Amino acid sequence: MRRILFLCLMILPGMIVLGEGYQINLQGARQIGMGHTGTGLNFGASSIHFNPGALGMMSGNFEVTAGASAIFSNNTFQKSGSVYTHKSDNPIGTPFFLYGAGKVNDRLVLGLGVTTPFGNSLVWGDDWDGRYLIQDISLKAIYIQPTIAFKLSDNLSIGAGLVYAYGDVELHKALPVQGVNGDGQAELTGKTTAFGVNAGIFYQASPSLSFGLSYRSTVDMKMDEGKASFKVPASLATQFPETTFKSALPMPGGIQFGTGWQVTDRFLLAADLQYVLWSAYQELNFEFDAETVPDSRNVRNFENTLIYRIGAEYALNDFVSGRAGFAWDTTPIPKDYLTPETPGANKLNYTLGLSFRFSENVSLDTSLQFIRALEREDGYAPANFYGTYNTNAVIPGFGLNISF
Amino acid sequence: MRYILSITLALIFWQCDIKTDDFATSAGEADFAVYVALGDSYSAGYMDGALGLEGQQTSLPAMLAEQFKLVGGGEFKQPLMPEGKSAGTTVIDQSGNINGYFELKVVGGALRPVPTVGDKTVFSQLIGSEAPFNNMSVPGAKSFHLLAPAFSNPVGGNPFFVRFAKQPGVSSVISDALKLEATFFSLWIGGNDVLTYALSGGTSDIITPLESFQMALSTLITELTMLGSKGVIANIPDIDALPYFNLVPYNALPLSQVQADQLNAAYAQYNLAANGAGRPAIVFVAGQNAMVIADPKMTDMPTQLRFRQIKANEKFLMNLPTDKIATEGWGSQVPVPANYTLDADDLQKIKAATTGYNEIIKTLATENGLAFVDINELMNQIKAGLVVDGHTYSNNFVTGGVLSLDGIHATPRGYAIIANEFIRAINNTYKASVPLVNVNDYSTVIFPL
Repeated sequence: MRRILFLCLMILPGMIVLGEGYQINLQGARQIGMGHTGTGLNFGASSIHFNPGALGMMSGNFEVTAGASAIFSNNTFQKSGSVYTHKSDNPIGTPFFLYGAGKVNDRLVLGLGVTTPFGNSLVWGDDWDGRYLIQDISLKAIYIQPTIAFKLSDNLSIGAGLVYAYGDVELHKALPVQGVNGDGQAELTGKTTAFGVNAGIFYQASPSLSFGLSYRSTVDMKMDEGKASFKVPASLATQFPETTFKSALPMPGGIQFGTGWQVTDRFLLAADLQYVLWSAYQELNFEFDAETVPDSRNVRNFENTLIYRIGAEYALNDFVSGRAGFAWDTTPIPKDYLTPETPGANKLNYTLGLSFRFSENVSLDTSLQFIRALEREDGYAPANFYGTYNTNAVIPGFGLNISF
Repeated sequence: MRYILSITLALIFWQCDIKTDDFATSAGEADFAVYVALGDSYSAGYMDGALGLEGQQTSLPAMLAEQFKLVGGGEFKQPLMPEGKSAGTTVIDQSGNINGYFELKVVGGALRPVPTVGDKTVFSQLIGSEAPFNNMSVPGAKSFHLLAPAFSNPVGGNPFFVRFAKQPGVSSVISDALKLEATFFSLWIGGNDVLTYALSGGTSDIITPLESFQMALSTLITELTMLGSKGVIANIPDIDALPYFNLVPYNALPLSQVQADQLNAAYAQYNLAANGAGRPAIVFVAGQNAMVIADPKMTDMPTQLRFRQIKANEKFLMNLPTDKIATEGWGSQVPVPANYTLDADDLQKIKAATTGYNEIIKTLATENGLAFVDINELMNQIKAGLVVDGHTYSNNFVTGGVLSLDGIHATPRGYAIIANEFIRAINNTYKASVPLVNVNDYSTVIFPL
């Protein structure tokens, strides 16, 4: 028990890896183990996400990588000036990734990536105190990215991919029109698609030192035909008909810079700096087509952020290698704009990883990530809803690699 | 091996579980052990035009007492009404029945508050043997009533107080309250000192003179603080913030050009006389028109001509039967009776009294070191749109969320918003940390199925 306490105290200053805002940084099991670094690393097919430029340096002729994570997350809220506390009951999030890449010739590599770089899965409950802001939200984005990479020379390669993004959202919030059974409720659902790009450059400065730079565009998910339905007392039903709505949500892009240093044959270090263009998210509006339903305008005012990542990998032998990493993920949400829909805070991410190479062609990566957001006492001024939020998550994951 | 280690670590991390902050409660310099509430209908739990169990259970003092329990407060006994029975003050039919709670109903395709039938028998079921009660608030009470034994007199007294006075005819609100030897009190009085006049359209009752109000209030405070108890005192809202005085607009008369022409012709005679007396003519146009109201104060005009068009800065009361505008020619052919209107002179008197009372309340609060709640300011904020925990409240009738179906009293949620103002003032004055009420836990206006 004392040991547990001691460990808890040790990790209190911070342990972390669930992205800020609604970004999910779980796009490759090997990278997760190393603090989700990878822009400056040549990790084969998964470079399709991390740095399409590095894909040009893929060593095998053909590679497939597939994996998934399970996010077990918790959020708590303690209302300002009140003894009210509440804990969310979030479903297990399951982001996944799938990469395939093949060499066309010595210089040209083609690949396809399917990733889930954004999402949000939060269930605060129907009756909780912040129900007029949000009851639950499920946001999923799937990126399908055909990618082309080209090796310019033995130490320089470039690559680019076209992102076809699919987005899906469902959210519920309570309406303060009460019948004998309590509050009304709005249900908003919608699906949409959009395009974006992902491009990068990779430079092998020396046999032990590599650099990468990549850019991902912001994908603006516009929804013209979202569906809204309302549960209200019958005497108000004509004012709240089923209707369609227009809305938009940006999937922010960014610039990533990373480096890798093969310290010894067995020991690899990596560091990434990620600049996320969150300022694209200024507001979240729902414009309803039915005239009697008032439009909903919600200021977000997100700001661009930096994520700092470091990671290490050590090969115990030809069969097993272990990893560890850390990331400091800063929040894009300014003071007075913190909503329970994305209860963000600066986050500390600790990651561990372990890989097993079963044969020349098959390997399994496992990862384990702990996220703890620094306690944040703040709120959303436009709704006058304030309190202290805490967030943590534990995320086990795996990835299977086949190459030949 | 390492894998096992990482799993173990994960489990350990998990055991740390997620942190929640705790709110550190404190009574500060106050002692909430015995709390007594003195006041009028606003503190009694009056809502939707009546007093009943539901409203009493979510009365302002009951909410405060519930929070006080978290900082050392004791039991809070209210003179509860029998379950399922409510009683108002308006006679609603020929057999002399009084109204009970108003309910929102669909009438002729529109949502309207409709009174249920109240239960007069509650007034003859005396519960004074259970006195003293912690909630000594009496619907209809004015400042000086709280000091008056006559207020509990079964004949000519206030039936709400007769019901729960320890010795009807002998008890006063203050004498019963003092029996509790309370350590903390709330005093929110003064509303009826001006409201009763306003509700009569300025036709009956008198506004309590400032001197009398000052005398009554300072006596009350002296008695309540005699044993060193602390307390909170609130001022009264301007009637302008209440839907009862804003729902019916001055220009509630819609006319076509033809109707306007006919009426203008019919008023030709009146206009001649008005012109002679230097008074404005009655003129109608196509569209919305200022209604014609009776004005007995026009003594310079012949008795049968004491009417005029209402001015934009004058008010109708909510109880004006607006269907009579169309069915009986109210406001056009028939002047609206004076008891449904407040003219500029009435409004000025009401305003002056409200301002005067509020100055007295503020001064006495400061002099006696009491926590002071600016309800008038809160109502002004609500009028402008007050955002609380995800919703914007207003003073709109039915849809505003704060005011109940009688247009004067609050909904349970409105009382919760008010309770938090009380708590903030108490925390401020007595360096206490009484936790706030969860506003969203309470109901607002209930729409029918």
